[in-house]
Amino acid sequence: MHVRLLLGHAAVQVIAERVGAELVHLKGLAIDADLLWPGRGTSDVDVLVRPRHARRMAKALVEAGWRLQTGYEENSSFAHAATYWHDMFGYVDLHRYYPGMHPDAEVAFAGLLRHCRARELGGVECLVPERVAQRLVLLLHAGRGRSSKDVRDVEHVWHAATDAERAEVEALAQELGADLGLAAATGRLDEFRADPRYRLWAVASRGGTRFEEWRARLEAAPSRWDAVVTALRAVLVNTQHLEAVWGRPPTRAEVVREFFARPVRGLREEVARWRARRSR
Amino acid sequence: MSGPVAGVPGWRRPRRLGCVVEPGAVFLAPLPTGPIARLEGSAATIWQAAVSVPAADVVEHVAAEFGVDAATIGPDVEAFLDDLQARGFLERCGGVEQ
Repeated sequence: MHVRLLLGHAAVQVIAERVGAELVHLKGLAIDADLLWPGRGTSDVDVLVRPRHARRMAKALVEAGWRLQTGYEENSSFAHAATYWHDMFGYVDLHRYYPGMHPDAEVAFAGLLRHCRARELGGVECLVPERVAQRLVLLLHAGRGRSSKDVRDVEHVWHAATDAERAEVEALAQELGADLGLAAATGRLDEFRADPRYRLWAVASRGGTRFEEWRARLEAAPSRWDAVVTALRAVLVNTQHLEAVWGRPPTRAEVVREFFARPVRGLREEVARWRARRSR
Repeated sequence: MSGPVAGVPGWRRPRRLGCVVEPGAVFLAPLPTGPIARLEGSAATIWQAAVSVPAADVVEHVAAEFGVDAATIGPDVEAFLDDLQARGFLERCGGVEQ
């Protein structure tokens, strides 16, 4: 796995250079080993592409033999990454945006680029975040999750850090517009209640119903047009998700059935949550 | 790996060849398509020697590694180097270019 992932990083970098796409390699094997707690595994290649290069990079990945598994909209509430699979090199998550950084993805990328250095991965020189930025990247990721892995990441990268190291991360977060994301990771999300992205991070880090998630997505949409697109996507059936769960593409009849079943499930979730609140 | 020496005939890893060196094995992959090849034992030793020392010293280096006579293994080592080149795992270098 280790070998395959290193060569996966190298392969993706070669593809990026061929098409003139700028990449930063994130997490996993791009991170200094001591910033990962003992036993923390990694199973894929994560790269952040300069947003205006995302389309050409996606096309180049497919031409080089990667297959799209889940698109941006289906992958997460933040619609930030698409997942590709290669029979030789495994998974790559192509990020067009890193949740928690400056809301303007181009500004966020340019900011992170100022804090990167070269590292050889699989024999190819790649750009990875500098150490302080590595801490921030790990924390921003942990901040929108609830798993034990996320909790341990925060413990290892933040709580076990020195005051000076935490101050460096806070300063970098301020520079990169990542205050909210860092706050979500370090238990201070409620300080950002007035931020339009607050609800989205609250749902991601604390859980929520489907309705709450879609409502949060609408609130966080950067423009009215994005909000319209988000609202339209809310009613579409996620056929990629169904294929991933069932192991086969859904039939037309199944898509139609799912179209009517989703709002019913969503309503059941809301009723269950309302009842749970009432019984407290 | 110290790499090729300017002006001295040698071998080097091709630019678009991915490489991971692990204890006892070398993994190589033409990028970006693969496949991933695994060299072990003497194969790994020969490849690593080729990208580390001048071409003229590879056989001696490998012979010393295994405690055998260079003249005995020379033809096989040279043949394997040619094979590695044919597979795209090595390329010749030398003169003033790197």
